[in-house]
Amino acid sequence: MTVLQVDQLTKTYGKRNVLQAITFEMKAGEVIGLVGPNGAGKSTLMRSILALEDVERGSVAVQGISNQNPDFFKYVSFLPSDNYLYMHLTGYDHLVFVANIYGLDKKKIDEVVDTIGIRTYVNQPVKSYSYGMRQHLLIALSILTKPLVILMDEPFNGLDPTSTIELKELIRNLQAKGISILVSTHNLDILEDLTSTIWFIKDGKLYKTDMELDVNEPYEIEVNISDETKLAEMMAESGLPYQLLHNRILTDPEENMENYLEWLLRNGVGIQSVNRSKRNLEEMYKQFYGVKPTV
Amino acid sequence: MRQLLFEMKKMTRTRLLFFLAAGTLLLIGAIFIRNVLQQDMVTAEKVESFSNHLQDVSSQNRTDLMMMEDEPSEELELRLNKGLDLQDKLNELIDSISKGLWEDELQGEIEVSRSAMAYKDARGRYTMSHADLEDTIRLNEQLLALGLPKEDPDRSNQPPLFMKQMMVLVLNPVGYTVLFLLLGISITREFEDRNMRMVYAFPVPRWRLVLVKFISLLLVAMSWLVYFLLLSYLLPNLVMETREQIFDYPLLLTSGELMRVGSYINEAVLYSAGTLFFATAMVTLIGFGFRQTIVSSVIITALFTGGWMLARNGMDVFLNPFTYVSGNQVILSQPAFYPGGILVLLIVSIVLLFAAMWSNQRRGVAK
Repeated sequence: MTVLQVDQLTKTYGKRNVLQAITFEMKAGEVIGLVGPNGAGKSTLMRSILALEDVERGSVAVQGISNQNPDFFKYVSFLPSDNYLYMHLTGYDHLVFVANIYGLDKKKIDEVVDTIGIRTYVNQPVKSYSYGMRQHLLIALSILTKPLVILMDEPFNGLDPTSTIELKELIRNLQAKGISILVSTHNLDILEDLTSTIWFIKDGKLYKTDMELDVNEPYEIEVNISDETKLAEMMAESGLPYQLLHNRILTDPEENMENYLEWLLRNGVGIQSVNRSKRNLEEMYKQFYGVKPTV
Repeated sequence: MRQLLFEMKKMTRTRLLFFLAAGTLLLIGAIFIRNVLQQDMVTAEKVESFSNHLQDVSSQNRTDLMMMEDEPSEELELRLNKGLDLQDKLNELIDSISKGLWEDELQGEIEVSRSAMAYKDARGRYTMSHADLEDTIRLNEQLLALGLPKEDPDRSNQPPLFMKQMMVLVLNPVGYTVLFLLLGISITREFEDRNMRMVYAFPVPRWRLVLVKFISLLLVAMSWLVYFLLLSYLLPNLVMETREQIFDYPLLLTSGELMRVGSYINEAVLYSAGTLFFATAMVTLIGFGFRQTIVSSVIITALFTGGWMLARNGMDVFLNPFTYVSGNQVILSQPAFYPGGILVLLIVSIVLLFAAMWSNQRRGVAK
């Protein structure tokens, strides 16, 4: 089910096109990773989705409700990359304010405070928080309202390893509850671990790539024959192009994978698993953005 | 309502209100102490002022006496007689002032004024104009009728007169500029600190955010006005003995008519409240329009200064809201503008507020 629709979103800074007719949809429970170098437009895209930026053209809607309608924000929340908290107020003041706007009770606040683990400092003024503590509060604020979509702009910045692991776990839990998350980060390893749907942004355009569905990568069929010579003889008889790696058959991307399965089953070969190799995100990034060694 | 409470919480947690309250208390306290310390000087200055008149008249009399011996004339004789009479009255007046006999002083000043007018009619030199002398007579007669001594309007510690002094000193273009520069920052800083990104990403119409900000600023401004007026009233009341009927103390309008100080304070309070309403709406429009502290501050200062200069230079017309920013000036010189001027302020404020709400309906927040 489509939750968020972005259509022809266009924004320029002077003569520079920051967003060029960006169009995409997000489905319920989908986690999409947004990647790009600094200044590529990741944050601008998120702010434009939230109507925090004036755009030249385009529309954004969540479940058909435009971002020009205040009700849009009942379903979408934002975790920004820069701090937007009131320094002289406490974390609890922020949570109460948001809860009041959304008509949530105190119990919900306590629940989120415990989930994110900010109980020990939530009653202190934000100005006394470390960067990581502020990030935790922002995360708490973004999930407090039970949104359908969360836009997370570099949420892992300033988090220690424990908090990073916890946030990844939280994102997976939110996804399991059907919440869609658009997350940007410079940490490719984290992103690769979180989702297989990764979009690159370059020159104001969005390039969608689904790592699992990359047709240039072969399938790996793991079979119950451990003798590689015997397996090679069998595969030679099939007439299908292949490569062997111990008890795994690497298929040819040009060939239909079902032909392999059909032949193996017909010849009584037990199939233990079928996997497709993921492309390495770092390699894809280097290739896409033309990163070359500087030595 | 909950948004308004949050706005008020934001305001109270900053040091803005503390500095505003402390600054106001210090200013009022300092002026009050100054007034107390200068009470003796008031008498001395009165004596000095009338002594100067006496010196001028005596000198003229001596000259006239010599001229009479050389070349007598009826005109000269008349002036000399009037001059000698004025000289006697001035001596008596100075004596009354020195002895602190306020009723004799008031009566003496009336007689000096009448005598001075007669002296001027006889082509004698006296530095006060006929109109000023007539005003003095009218004022003193009223004071005698009320049984009140004459106060120095700039150094009195009687509650309504001290209130008037503070209002003239603070509720003017300079005072409003300072107040609204401080209040205006609370809007622009939220844009500069990016707090508005959080607020704009809530399911609340943007026009309502503008309205809530306006109401919160207005509440702060009005609370400050009440605090300012209470302090100005209570401080002299607690420390000094208040005279009966002091709220009936007469003030001179530019036209020469008299006005009760109580009525003056009523009008000044209403004009101030109207001006706060108008200035809050203006600052809301500017703050949400320009979203930068420096730019907004320059515009607010320029508007108050420019508006006041226009009002002072003949543009103190009924429909110009800046006319009422100088409350003292408009009360004393344009009494016919009351109470219509307050309506003008309210209408202009509502127009500005709607403009602020309308212009922020669909605007983003990021730079």
